[in-house]
Amino acid sequence: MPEIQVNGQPLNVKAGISVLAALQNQGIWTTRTSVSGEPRGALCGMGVCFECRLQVDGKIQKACQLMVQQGMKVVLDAR
Amino acid sequence: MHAEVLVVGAGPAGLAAARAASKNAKVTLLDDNAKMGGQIWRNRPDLKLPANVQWLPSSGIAGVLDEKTLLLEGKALSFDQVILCTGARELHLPFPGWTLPGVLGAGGLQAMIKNGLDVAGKTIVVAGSGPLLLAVAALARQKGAKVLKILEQAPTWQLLPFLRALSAGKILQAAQMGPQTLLGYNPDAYLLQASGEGQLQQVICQIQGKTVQLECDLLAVGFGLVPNLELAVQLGCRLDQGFIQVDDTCKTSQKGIYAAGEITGIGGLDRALLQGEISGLAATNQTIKNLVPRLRASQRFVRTLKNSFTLRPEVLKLAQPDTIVCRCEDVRLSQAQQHDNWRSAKLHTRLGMGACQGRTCAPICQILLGLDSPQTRPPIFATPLKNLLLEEEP
Repeated sequence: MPEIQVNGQPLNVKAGISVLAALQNQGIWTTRTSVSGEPRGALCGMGVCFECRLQVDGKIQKACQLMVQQGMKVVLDAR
Repeated sequence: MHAEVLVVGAGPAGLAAARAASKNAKVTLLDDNAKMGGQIWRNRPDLKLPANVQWLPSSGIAGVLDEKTLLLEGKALSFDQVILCTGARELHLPFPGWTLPGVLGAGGLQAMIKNGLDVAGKTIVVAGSGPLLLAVAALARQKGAKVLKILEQAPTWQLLPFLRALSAGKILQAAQMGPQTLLGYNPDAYLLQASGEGQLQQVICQIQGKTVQLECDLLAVGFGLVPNLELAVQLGCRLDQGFIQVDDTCKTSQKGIYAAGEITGIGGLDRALLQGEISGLAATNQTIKNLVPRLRASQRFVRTLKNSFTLRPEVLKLAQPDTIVCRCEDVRLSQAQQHDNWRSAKLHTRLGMGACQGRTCAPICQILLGLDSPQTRPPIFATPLKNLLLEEEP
């Protein structure tokens, strides 16, 4: 079971799943705050809508297209 | 990097194209996902490629450098022939509450489940239009979710031509999904709104004329598919009624450029496989003669699919003046309505200028407001500036 960090907190997740699924499985459905301050979560699940973008290992990436890797550092709602 | 035959997109059409072309040429296959299979075969473990297919996963295309060269993130990739199999995305139509976390695309939920989302014990409503709704509901149930309702906006009479056009194989496949597949299936039913505190909690819908409220954890909505035309258009391929124009050999209007699958017309898996095979053979000078009659039949299925799931006027009127149409820039319907063309709406409201570059809102504004967006601006996907710079080749 790979361990990732979400906002600094360690989290053990299933291998072979997306970062998005790992967060959703923890009940985290809000991935970002919109420009007018609304909570938003993933819509398309396939890299088109960009609603699931997060900071992962210092880079803004689409959580739905990224598979979990040991030691990944995920920051929610990063700019 | 150079590819003899480049296949863009590793879904069913792209895989079929790569296999067929590899019998007579060296093939490079790329996709912006980490694994091959596309949306439909996402995470299928048994997909194999022939030896002379080079596989480039997680390769986003940033732009077109010239008619025979693409820009990957920081690298140029030239080709002799290219087969575009860029597929389709879901058509989303806005309704009050559609931006709440927990409201997903129907295909979105399918993709998330295939990528590891655990839906066991979740209460789900599936709504919209098209055969995808049933597939999503079946998958969610198989994984332990409670699918309360499947709301199909088309009335029963409109669905009949689709049922008649299904092949024996498809009917058998549906029968194997079991009678529970149709549990909660309601034609002539559509969403009115979704609501909740910071997250989806309930939906209100119209089922055969009655207004019904349902409590649920997730709402999966899909109103059909729109083709991913950006790359093909930037390569100069001509369109025909909103899709890439191809002949019987899957050749586009541009020399050396072929297209297969959903970007040439929404027709599902069988047609994508057939067109993929034809394009791969044709691009490498192999015979396709016996496949052409099957292709013609598949075009008829494309038309039947379109007619059976034509959207009713009510679902095009669900958005209220304050409903967001552009999720990246939070542009509301009333703001977009003040403009009679895409460019003006963009310049005044930032519509379509966010991270998704209009992929979600452009079809919405086209359908609801008649605003046509050009799909010709680079980059193809929003990408960091450094990716637009070519790395020095050693």
